[in-house]
Amino acid sequence: MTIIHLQAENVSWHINNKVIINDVSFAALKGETVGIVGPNGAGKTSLLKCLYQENQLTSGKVYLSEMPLNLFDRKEIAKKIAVVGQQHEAAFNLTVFDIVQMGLIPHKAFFESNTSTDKKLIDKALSEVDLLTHKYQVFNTLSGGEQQRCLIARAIVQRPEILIMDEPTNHLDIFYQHQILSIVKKLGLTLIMTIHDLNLAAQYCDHLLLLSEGEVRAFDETNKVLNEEIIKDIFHIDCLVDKNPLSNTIRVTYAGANND
Amino acid sequence: MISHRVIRSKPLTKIGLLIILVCLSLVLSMGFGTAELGYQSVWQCITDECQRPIYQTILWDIRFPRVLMGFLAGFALAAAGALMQNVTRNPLADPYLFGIVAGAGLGATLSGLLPEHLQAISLPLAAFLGALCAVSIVVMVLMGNNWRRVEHLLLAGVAVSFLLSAFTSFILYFGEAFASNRVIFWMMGSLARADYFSLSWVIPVVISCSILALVFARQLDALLLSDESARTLGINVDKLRIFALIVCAAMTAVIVSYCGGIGFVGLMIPHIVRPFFGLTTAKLLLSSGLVGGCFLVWVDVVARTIVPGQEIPIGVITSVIGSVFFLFIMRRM
Repeated sequence: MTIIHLQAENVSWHINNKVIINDVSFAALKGETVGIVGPNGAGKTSLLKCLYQENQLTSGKVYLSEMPLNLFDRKEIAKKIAVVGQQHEAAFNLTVFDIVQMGLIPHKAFFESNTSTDKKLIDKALSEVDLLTHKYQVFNTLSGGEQQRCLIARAIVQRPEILIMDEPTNHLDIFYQHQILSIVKKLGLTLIMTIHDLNLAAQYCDHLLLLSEGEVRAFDETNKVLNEEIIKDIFHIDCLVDKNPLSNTIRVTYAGANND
Repeated sequence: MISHRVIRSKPLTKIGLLIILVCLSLVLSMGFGTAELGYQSVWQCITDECQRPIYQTILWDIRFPRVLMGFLAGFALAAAGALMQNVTRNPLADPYLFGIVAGAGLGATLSGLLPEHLQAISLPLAAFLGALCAVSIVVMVLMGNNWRRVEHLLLAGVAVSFLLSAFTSFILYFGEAFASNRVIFWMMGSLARADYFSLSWVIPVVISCSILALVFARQLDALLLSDESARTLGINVDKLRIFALIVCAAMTAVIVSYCGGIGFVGLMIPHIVRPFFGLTTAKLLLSSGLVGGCFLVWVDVVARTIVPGQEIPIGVITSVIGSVFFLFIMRRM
């Protein structure tokens, strides 16, 4: 059975009279992965921020399990939606443990300290992302991939139903790109992420939302969205779309940039 | 300034050791002063009856309130500094940055320079009102504006601080010399004013503010990464930050009103404490408070004994010891 988990309905977001997101509608089904792709400046990150209420919508609505998101209070939303943003620096000497522990906040009343269950939960999350040995290391001294995994561990501790990630594979080498994505896929959550690499998107996303200048150009199953015409139209680059013989998913091979 | 290792051992053990250190400091520091009492008589006074009635007066009416006030002032300033640094994610934040001392100074100046018969309110009360006034200006400026950025909070504080100090200087410049001197000495900080009446104000404010901050400790921790990340954890960031600012302001204002300007404690102590106790709010706040309290108790001992028969303003000493020690620590970090 397919259940609509998170849905955007005619979402628009303007700032200083400039239209950043224009009339975007799409839905993420329970347990699936939706990738948001598009050129730089298309509004991918802004759209994500509209979904988790960091941007106040100019018009339109976001629904969580078919209920308008603004009917939930902040804490309720935090129990259902976790966000892994782009964070590469932390103040002071924040350790991995300090950050992962923050995931408990929506579940805690005032003055409530960590129980032994919480401690087990933190250790379990850290071992899921393979950071247990770095538990007390300072966040700023971690590599990019480790920082990303640390933030994912925080999201795991937050126990959400939906995970929103902004460019989770940014600045990572090819091994870490796949490592990060397979870790989050294993969690079995509804996953919405922006992603640059179309081949990664093809491999890991069930649906793709193609965004250009704040508008939806295509929203469909991944193999229906990615074709040579639309990629040339939006990214201005010639390419060949065929099948990746190893993963059996779509493969995009690029020619050089088309400067004409 | 990034030290890659964070020294770890049981936090409760460390806090316990600190508490023992605090108790020792409180008792030992009572032995110092113009009148030579000796530890035996101090100990006898604490555990039993004093040898001579004069000791009773010196110890319980003069030294004890002063030592306790020193501890509370150090505790409040250091804890407020720790709280401010955490909620602004800025290692330079200090309760003094938000115009609290400048406001208290202006209040004190206004009340101190009025003719005797017009002095309806005492200097501490005027200073307290001045401090609250300064913080309200900072908060109001920020409320009207889009104040999602931490830097605005710091900049507004600095601006208000300079504005109020300018008023103070202006009034002092034209003020009557004797009254001006009184105010200037007050601004340098002293614990000599401490008595049971002032303690009856300071104790409840410091205790209730510390408890309030500890109640929200976990929420405050969320601010350590970024405002946006805190919001995704269900925190109302703007409200929480104003709340923290008000707690700091109340705690600092009550200390400044009775003790005058004691600089550098709020800035320095959290930096010293952080490598040993970590930087999450509850641990940092408590340990900074205890270390700050100890520090000020001993600074006051220096203030009242270093020049025989005379007292040095405590604010002068905290600034000297504080900055030298701070530079030393920074070199080693």
